[in-house]
Amino acid sequence: MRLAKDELKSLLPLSPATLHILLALAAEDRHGYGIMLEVARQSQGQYALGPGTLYDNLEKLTYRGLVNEAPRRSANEDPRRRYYRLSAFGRRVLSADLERLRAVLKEAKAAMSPIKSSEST
Amino acid sequence: MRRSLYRALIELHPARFRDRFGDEMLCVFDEAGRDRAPRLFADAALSLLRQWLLRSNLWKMASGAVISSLLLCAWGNSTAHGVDLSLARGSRWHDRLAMNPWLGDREAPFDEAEFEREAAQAVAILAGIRKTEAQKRHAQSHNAPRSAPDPSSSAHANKG
Repeated sequence: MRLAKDELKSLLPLSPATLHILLALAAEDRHGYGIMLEVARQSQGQYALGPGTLYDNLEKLTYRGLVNEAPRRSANEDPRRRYYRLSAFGRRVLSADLERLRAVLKEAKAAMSPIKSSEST
Repeated sequence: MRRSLYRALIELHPARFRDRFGDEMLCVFDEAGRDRAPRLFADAALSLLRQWLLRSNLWKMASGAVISSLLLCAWGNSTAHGVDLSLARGSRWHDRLAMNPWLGDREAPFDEAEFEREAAQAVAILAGIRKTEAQKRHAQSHNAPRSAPDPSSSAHANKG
């Protein structure tokens, strides 16, 4: 358990690409192009993930056990398509990073509020 | 044409990555459409660099080769410097020997006849010096006032 916690901490903070990929897989299993479209939607087009970056990250994530390969949805689909699924460990890592980001956001809000109030006066 | 170029870029990736994700990358290219092709080309080129330089063992081999070359250069330089030093020392010693008339040329082969001739000359010179000294003492003893004879000088004179 201690080892898993240390392993989890060692993965944080997540890189923007990893965070977006895990977030894209949080709701459902997706194939590569599906992940790219979901990342573009989440970031409102600000973060464009190319296949090279995507598969480089997916290779690392599957190796570390954060993402697993999922079965194909239907036989009619392009056989080259492969689906990916967030593992239980991957979900814990994502939750831990989101918690960290929440704390960062809270600190940022506290730090920025005096500046905002002084700007308004 | 664009697809062939993109496929060629994928083919240039390391086999590990190409075998695992090559078909999927081409599938994404087919699905993304022509509009996104320039961005996908740039991404594939970056991916190519990333996979060869960072993910494969090429950087380890490259850094190993660079370190080995540097070590070899350092060793070669120090060895060459050492050789230069020894050569310089040798040449200085050789110059000193050459300038000294008593020692002569160290590298010349040993000539026994010349050694005997030079030794005979040296003995003759020493004998001449001794003879001159003895004559001097003899003259001094004759010119000196008559007193108790110096035993050492008389013995010396007898020996000469």
